[in-house]
Amino acid sequence: MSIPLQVCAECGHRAFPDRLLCACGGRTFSTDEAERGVVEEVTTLRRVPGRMLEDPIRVATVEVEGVRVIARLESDARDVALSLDRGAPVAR
Amino acid sequence: MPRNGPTIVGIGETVYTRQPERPTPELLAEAAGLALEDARLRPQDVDGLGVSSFSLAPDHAIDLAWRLGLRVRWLMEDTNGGASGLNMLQHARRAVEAADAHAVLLLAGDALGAKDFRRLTDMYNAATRDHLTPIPTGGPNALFAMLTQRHMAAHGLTREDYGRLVIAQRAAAAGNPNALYREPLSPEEYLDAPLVADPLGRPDCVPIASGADAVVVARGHVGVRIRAFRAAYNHDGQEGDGLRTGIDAGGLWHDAGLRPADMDVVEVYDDYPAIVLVQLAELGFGDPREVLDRIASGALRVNTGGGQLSAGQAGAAGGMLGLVEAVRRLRDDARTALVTGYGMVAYRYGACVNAVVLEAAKQ
Repeated sequence: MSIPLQVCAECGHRAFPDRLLCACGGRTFSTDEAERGVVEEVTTLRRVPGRMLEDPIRVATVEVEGVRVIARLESDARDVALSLDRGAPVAR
Repeated sequence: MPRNGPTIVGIGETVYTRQPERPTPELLAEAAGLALEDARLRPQDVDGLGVSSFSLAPDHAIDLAWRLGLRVRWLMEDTNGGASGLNMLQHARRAVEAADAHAVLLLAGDALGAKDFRRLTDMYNAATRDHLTPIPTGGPNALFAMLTQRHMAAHGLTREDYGRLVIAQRAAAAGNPNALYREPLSPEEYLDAPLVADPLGRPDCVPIASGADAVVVARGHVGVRIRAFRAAYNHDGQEGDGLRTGIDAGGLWHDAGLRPADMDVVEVYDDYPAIVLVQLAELGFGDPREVLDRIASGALRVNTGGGQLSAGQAGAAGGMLGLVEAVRRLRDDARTALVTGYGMVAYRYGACVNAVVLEAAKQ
């Protein structure tokens, strides 16, 4: 259970989603599988274009090792475990 | 400033509708016709064309030129959504200055139903397709809800504060026959409206519309003159809080030779109320409460046609709506105007912002 942060081999800058090049000019990267993060903001999405959602979705900004990730929130805790579900970050 | 420099000599705008009633090319053609008529130009006078639309495919700018009967020597297709109107203006101004073209027609518009809008937002870019749509976020509302929470925390604002802006814009929309929503909105109606993504309620989220806008840029001494332009694209790599846009406000006002207090009208890109206040703060109009008080007292005229929050967001036309409205006001009682563009959520908030200072050219 983790999400992959891209780490620049030159400057150590972390990113999610992956970038093509690092702003420092770095072109080689490694992956840091990050397991935990801290919830910064939460919103309950009740409506998407054209319809109300029967089951509202909780969406959160989660800080993971300095990177802000948008995740589906399935927890009431502030400290959450992260995983990737078909591309979607999930915080539990 | 050269006396015979590029000016905005024509504007056109279709009525905005909630549902797509005509295909995108027809909306663009109507706006084009209105702008040329307004500029007193014939199609054969136009030698430059720029277009921005999310729903023009499979056509491109050249197909539109053909279908509009325009023979041009300057052609541009812009993909920057809410920043496209001013981005095209930036390029058209230089093209006219350099005599690459003498009369440039700029078009922006979309016909978008709920299904089209959903497809557009689900596939907005690779990051959205791969990491937001599977959540699902269903478009940008959840992202701007969280941005608004950060804005509230940073400035001690409440939902009532954002309501003051939305209500003021709705009052202004009464005078805009093209707007979707022209009825006044009461504070109770604002607060009681269904929540979309807390703290955003329905009146905080632009209604999806169909429509088109157009401007004509040409050399001349009548019309609306461009005094200064600035843009910031991807200024922070989406790694900030979205409460700064990175625009060089000092440079903008320096080039304009004017100050924020000199602006008679201000047309600010308004996909969400917080974004209006973020831009105004960065452009030197003061902190959010100060700005809201000045709007309420009538000292600051913001989004004089009701903005997108009242008129609707007709896709890429959202980036030209404010420009067209500013020209209307500059032909009426305003001498100076600021217009901004904003948009293109790369991952967490808009990656594009631009601004232009305009003045009514002396007759």
